[in-house]
Amino acid sequence: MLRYTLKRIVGVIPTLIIVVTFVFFFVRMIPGDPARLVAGEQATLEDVESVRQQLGLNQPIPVQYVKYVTGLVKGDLGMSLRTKRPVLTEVSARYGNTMALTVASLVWSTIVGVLLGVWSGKNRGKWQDFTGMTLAVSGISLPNFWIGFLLIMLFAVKLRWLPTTGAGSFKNLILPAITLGTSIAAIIARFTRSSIVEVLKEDYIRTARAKGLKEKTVTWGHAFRNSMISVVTVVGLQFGFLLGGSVVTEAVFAYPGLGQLLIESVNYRDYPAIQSLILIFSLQFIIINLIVDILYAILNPEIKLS
Amino acid sequence: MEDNRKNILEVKNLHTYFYTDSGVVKSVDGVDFVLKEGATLGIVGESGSGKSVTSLSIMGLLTGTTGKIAEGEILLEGRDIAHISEEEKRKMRGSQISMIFQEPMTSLNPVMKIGKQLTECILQHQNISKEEAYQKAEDMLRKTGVPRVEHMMKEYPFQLSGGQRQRVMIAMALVCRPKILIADEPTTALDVTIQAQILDLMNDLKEEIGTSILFITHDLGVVAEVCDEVVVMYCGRVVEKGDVYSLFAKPSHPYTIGLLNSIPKLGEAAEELEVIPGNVPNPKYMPKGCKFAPRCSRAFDKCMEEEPGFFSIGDGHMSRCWLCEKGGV
Amino acid sequence: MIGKKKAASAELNEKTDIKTPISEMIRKFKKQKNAVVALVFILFLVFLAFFGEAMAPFKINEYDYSSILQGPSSAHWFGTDEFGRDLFSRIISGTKISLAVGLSAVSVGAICGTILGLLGGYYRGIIDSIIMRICDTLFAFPGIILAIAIVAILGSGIGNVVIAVSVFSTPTFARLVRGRTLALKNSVFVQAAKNLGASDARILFRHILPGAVPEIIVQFTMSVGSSILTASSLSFLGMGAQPPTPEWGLLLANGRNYMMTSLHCTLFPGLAIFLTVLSFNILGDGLRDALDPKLTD
Repeated sequence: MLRYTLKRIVGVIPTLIIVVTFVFFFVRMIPGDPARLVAGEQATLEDVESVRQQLGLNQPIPVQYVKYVTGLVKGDLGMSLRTKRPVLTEVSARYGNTMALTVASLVWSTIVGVLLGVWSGKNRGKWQDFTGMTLAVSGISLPNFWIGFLLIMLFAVKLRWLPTTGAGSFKNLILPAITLGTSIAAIIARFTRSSIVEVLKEDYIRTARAKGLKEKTVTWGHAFRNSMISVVTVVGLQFGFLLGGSVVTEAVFAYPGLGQLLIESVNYRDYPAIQSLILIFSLQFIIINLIVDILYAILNPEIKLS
Repeated sequence: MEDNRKNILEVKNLHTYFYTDSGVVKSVDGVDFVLKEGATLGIVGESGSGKSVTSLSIMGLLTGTTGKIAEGEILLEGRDIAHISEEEKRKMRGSQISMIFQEPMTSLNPVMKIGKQLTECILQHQNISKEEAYQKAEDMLRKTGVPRVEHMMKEYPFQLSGGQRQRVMIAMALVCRPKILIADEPTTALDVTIQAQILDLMNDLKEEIGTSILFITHDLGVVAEVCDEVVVMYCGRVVEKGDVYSLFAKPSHPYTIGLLNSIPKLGEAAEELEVIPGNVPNPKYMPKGCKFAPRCSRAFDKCMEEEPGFFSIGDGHMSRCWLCEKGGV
Repeated sequence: MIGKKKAASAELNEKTDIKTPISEMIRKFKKQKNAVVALVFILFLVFLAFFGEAMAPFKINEYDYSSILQGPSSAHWFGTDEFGRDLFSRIISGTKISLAVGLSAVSVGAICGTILGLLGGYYRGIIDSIIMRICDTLFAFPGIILAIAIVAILGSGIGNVVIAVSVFSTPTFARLVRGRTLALKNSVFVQAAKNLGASDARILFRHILPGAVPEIIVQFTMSVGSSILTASSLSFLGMGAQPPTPEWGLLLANGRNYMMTSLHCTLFPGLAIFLTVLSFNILGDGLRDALDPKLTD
């Protein structure tokens, strides 16, 4: 188990290096002169040049790359061109909000998705299955910004139960989390269902029934545990969608998170910020998938014990 | 010879049909047999003969498939178990009748420890503490002759060999001391040497626990080794039945004879092994007369026209073949 | 035993009437009522894409300041926007944008992905490693984030959204086709074709690719749905279509300003996106089930 974990962690390193490099070169393809942007509209050519030197933009690309990577290792993400503050400060101010939102969404959508999937799967072909899967296919087809608006109209404007925008409290989190989690819940439900349907065909399920176990025990004690091995992988992948979806959801609810920051930075061509944000999003995704790999091993005794 | 042992299981005129999209498949179409207390009854047939469906019908494990018992009775100690509620069937499974399957490699839950798989069966049917159940499970597992029992209770199926897994399956099936054990091709997937050990083990445990065995197989060699009585099935019907000595000495249905001839015999010159020509007919396009007639080398006009009933060969030995109408083949 | 039953009934089908895989697929597809309805709806959308703008009761940029932000009425079925433009006409005219973006982006992604997958799976070695590494890297970015990054480089606009969406749909197809290629490469008929001296190109496109086509079709249908969603999300964020284009995501973004008073401005564009994506997803599900040999009964 320890060796497996270490192997996984080591296996992530090449991907990390590629991603960092990719992001670095990628962002340098953004058109426009960043020095010009920083210096401002009225700046003279000399001003622009001095800013360019300050930012190290006059150095050759390989030098910039090395500087960038060493900076990253030290936790230096550069300065935001827009706010003139360290990107790290900007990011950390909002990181917690986005994490709260994605984790809350992931938690509820996993619970609901798994329950709906099991319910549909074990009643395959019956009305429960039809209902569950109709809900699920609708869930993956709903534009999340639209759900957001409808939720705001209903719960914030009409019923006045919840705030429309902002962050910081649990109440602020409810509507964005529902918005963001809906499609994920639907995807998890669909996957859980097909996994349960497959597992219920297995010989050991027949054995469990032959033992006279209650159908509840067969479902939750035998089928569920086995289907979770593959469902866990999907839940991990969904985290990527959550991070992506958070950009849109944050825009709908004016929720001060990383997604909002990304949009503001893109609009301003604030490339140190864009670069760092894309990197943080993909890092997060990589780490989650690493955790999923390890969780997968914990659920699967064959890997756990080897 | 009069058999005074009481009937533990009687299957009477059992019909199990599968209702598929493309029509009704009559997998079991009128099967009768009796299992005596303490006896081992072999059900022999090719795949598709309906032998496994018969066993699933007895177990009440057709739920969730398109199969249904359309007609007939299954009497467990005189009580019909074909038409009881799902809940009653569930309570009966594992405690009164239990079953072991062909594939020991896939029949155990891969993510559950052996000990848990054994004890959950006891806890489901008996009102005892977890510790007691665990102890019982361990004792039962020890009886199957596996090594390092305490250790194995904490292991997962993938850590066991095929033979060991089948022993675990047997322990699991017998741990609640059922009246009947249905063994569906329990040795087919195993090595020949292990096969013999497993058959011996089943025989020993049968005596010790006092269970009766319904042994389902395609292998007449295995039947000769373990069974008292034999039922030969073909296309959802019983074509011949009798006690094992009579049936092997005087096989009367051409199908049985064909099966016997297709067993390689030691010591005989390696002549060509006889095979039964053709295949089991498609269940949707059953021949009109005797179901075996199209493959039978001795079929005559009547066989094609009319399905034969049972003819007695003597001493409970019966055959469903027109050749036996006038006595003897 | 259940498995044997199925095998028996499959054999039966063979005997009774000759069925090609395609006709079998069509037969199974027809049984999926939902999917047939979805297909009909998609065909209707395609019709709207071609003729919708011409048939619409109003021009898409026909201003009418005497009736701004009016709710649904007999004159304006979906109401009007802040310039008094007819929302119904704008939504109908927007159909072609969403369909074109979804179909073209996924087509590009599918073609690139298929070629990469075939090459990687067939030749293995260094080509395969490079292709798979690139796919892994692209997979390491959540879809929309990658699209936003691409739009950040190329600038806003619907054309750039198409490029962005094709880039992130490519690896999905590459992985899918690579998997099929690996499986089919060692099959008897491919080996036979090889022994008969067929060229690599012939083997790849005449023998392996047809084996992957059904799965590609299913993935294609599903991807169109999600691409339409992504594209409208980008437009919603202001990175895709620009005003006054009647793109649905943009209509919705515009409608949010009047959300409190004129819900119809957000309701109908959202409904249009939802129904379009839903029908592609249901169609994809239906195709998948029709193709899945495991679901015979």
